[in-house]
Amino acid sequence: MATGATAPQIVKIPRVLVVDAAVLANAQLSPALLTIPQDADFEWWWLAISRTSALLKLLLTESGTSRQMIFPGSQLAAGTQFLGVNVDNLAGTVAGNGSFPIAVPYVMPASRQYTHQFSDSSGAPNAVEVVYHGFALLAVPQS
Amino acid sequence: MSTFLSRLLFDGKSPAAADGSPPLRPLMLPRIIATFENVFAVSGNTPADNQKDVYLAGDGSVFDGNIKGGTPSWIPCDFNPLGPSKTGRSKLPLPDNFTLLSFFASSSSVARGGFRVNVYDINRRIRLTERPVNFNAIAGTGSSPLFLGGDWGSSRLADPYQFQPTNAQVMITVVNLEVVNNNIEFGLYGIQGGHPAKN
Repeated sequence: MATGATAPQIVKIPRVLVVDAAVLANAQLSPALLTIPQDADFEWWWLAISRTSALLKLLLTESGTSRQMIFPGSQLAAGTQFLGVNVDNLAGTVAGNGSFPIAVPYVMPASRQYTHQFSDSSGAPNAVEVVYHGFALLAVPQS
Repeated sequence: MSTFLSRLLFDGKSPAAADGSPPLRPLMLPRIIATFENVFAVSGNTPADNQKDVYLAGDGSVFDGNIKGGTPSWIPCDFNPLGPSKTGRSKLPLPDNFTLLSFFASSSSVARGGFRVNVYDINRRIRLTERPVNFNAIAGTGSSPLFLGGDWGSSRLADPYQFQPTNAQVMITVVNLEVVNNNIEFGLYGIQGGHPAKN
């Protein structure tokens, strides 16, 4: 590093990231991808979900690290797969008075991808939208 | 010399109006006081739902003083279904370095209260619930989570519970209060990893 160079200042800009998915009736582990914009890291504060039916589960994985965010808590019967968390338990709905606070904000690196896998048990098509509220951590060079 | 307030406070008698109209009701003073603003009260960010006040406006999370960083993690346990009035039990293996922030729960039938749940830290032999608790009372819902260790409203005294660093396990016991099959999900939300900010 050149002498006298200063670290860039981080400016927080409100940002909302959205994942839309049309989940087919009784689909299992139907994938949808969230890609963090490459201009800045994203600091995740709130999670909100809207869906057609609450009979929907979500499994969330950080692709770059294969890091799981949702872990199976119970032993699964032979031949069954772990499908994740009921979406209303995960986030709550905006219509149901608000979104879920992550409580300890999580920084998602720029360009990283997050795999969402939806599993429907309503027996009908399920239109789902997962919304991440937070801040873009923009690095602004200091003069 | 008695005044209006002193008569209300000390005389114990309602002052009769001079013009013969009905006397003032004796509860007038408490009613007036109830309208005063308590300058020591701290209101949260979400007046309708203090459970979500984990963020302080212009500041940060109430957990900032205890834990920084880490990955948000959900560990659900499903009973699909649990039979009428049956008791289910399950051990939940937790990810390493897990800090508990809240529970979440749902019940397909709630006619008789859904279900009750007991939570037990197997490694330390600590009961996290003294006796079975109704699922709504311990977990709230996804949109109204009830964060542990925090007072109602915003509090810097919130102190999340850290399980032992490796091979931590939780035992949950679920009692179905319904007389029908009940699809139950109960789980823990918290942070995997991170580091304590206290020291």
